[in-house]
Amino acid sequence: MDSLCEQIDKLTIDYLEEFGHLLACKQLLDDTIKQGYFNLSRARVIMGVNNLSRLQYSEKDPMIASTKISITLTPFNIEKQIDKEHYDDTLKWFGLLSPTILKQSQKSFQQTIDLALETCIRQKKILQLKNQIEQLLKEKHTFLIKENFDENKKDN
Amino acid sequence: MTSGGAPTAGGTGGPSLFGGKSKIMAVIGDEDTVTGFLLGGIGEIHAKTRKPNFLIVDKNTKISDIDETFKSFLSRDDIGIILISQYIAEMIRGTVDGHDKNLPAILEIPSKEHPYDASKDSILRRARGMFSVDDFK
Repeated sequence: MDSLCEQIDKLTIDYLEEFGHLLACKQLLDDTIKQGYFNLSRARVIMGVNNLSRLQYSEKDPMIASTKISITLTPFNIEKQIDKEHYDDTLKWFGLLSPTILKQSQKSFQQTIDLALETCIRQKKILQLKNQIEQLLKEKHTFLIKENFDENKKDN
Repeated sequence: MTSGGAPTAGGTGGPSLFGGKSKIMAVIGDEDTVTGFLLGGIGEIHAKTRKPNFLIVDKNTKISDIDETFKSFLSRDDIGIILISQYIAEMIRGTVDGHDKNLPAILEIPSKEHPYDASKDSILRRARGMFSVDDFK
């Protein structure tokens, strides 16, 4: 029983720490993506509203993602992969001489993608910790009920 | 995060040299969100089905279309993560909350006009609310 409680305590501390990390990660993602949006808007002012929109998306057939991910389930991990064979700098969709501010926006979104992967890993970890703790709490609860029952029997 | 130096074999959905399955990221958001992430290089139009891995939501987009697209992303085996603007996730909250499988992972992100609200986030709500007073006896 003591070791059960110890395990629950340890996992609870891990869980709370991980929750803190997750919130910090989400905040950073929020800040980075905001920077991306801001620079995108500034680029649109320079380039013209109709020159930075969905109308410029590549007509190339097929469109292939150059930024892919590799996911493993146990242990849960996500890694970014750059597909060099199909690499196509999407900056070119918006003109050969795009303003620096658009490149900066691209960089922010690339950083956001990295942060998104990290956030997904942390999200998964926290849900796993929660499941483990709930499982142990159920065991503890069953144990306590049994202990109570045995004591009542003794008294009678 | 490391970036891979080798191309994936046979396009998306196949095994990679890293031992994990190679997948792509999908995005559902307003035009700026989708444009931004496509600039990041995640955009793809499936060679066979001609279906894109992104959806631009504007004032004319029907909620049923958003729901249908989200569900189609869930059922595709080449999509590992779905990025969705939180205000759009709110429109289809039932479907988003109903997904409890490992893959694809869902991440709610802020949009330009709607700041991120942690209290609405599906994952954070699932992660919270675990303990009651009795648990500490």
